[in-house]
Amino acid sequence: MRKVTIALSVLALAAVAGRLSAHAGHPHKALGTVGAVDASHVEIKTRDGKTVSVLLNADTKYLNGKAAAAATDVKVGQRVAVTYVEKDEKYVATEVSLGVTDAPADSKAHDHH
Amino acid sequence: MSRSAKALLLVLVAAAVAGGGALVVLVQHGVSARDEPTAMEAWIARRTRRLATPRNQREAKNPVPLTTEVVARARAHFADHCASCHGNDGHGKTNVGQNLYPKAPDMWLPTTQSLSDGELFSIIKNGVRLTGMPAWGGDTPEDDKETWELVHWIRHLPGITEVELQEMKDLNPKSRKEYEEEAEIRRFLAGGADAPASPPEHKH
Repeated sequence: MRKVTIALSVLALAAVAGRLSAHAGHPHKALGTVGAVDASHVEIKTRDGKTVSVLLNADTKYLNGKAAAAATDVKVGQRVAVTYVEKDEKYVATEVSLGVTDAPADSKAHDHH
Repeated sequence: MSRSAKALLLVLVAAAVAGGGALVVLVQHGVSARDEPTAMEAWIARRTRRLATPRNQREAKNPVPLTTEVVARARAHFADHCASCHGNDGHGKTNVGQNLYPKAPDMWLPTTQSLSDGELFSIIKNGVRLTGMPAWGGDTPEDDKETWELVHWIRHLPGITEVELQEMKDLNPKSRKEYEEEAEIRRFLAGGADAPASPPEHKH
């Protein structure tokens, strides 16, 4: 009887319809400096002049080296490596690794005087 | 009609209904793994798995004493073999885990944590048919010991620390290209090198 129950359950499993769900794509990585940041998104300026806008949410993890960091630690001008996935045609950050903050370009120019 | 004939007829009717339903689903959705199992499907699957696990296995207690060395060994084992689907934190939010059918479970939730030690052991050792869970365990006492240690680690997951998570990152399997990418990112974040010219790049 136990085997019959298991067999019927397997058949029933095959018969129950699944429902379509949103499909998160492959993780991507964006490296650059922070152009803008607020509670819901960060804009990353990449070296080739592109700007990638990525959403931040409660699941986004922040790291400073190997130590945990917070969303409030992300500053404009800071180097970051952002891992994100594409979901519902939007980029959503899963992890933001924080780096050094580059000196503004004009202050670098000033050093030459 | 005799009682046994009625029972047989009932089984045949149930099988025909189930088979018809399965055919309709196949025609409508194909065999895509993008679908999410319904609550009923998940319930039936869990009941079937429980029924298919012999009682003596279900009720087995973890014979491996819980020590810090055992937890450390199991953590390294999990990072090396399990995390590619389940994630280091056991939430299952990985590229592979989220695209399986059914998806890798969030092991912090009661659907996993309420399983007995013996059920967890059986799942790790024997795998689960028609899912992404392979049978990991061999038949040697050493293999069984490692599997029981993993059961301890699964119990530990809801209390995992950030330090443990970072240690596990260094233990995850990586290709040479991934090592090089990580080194490049570390150099960039430290201010030592420019970012690659054309991010975002794919990371499979």
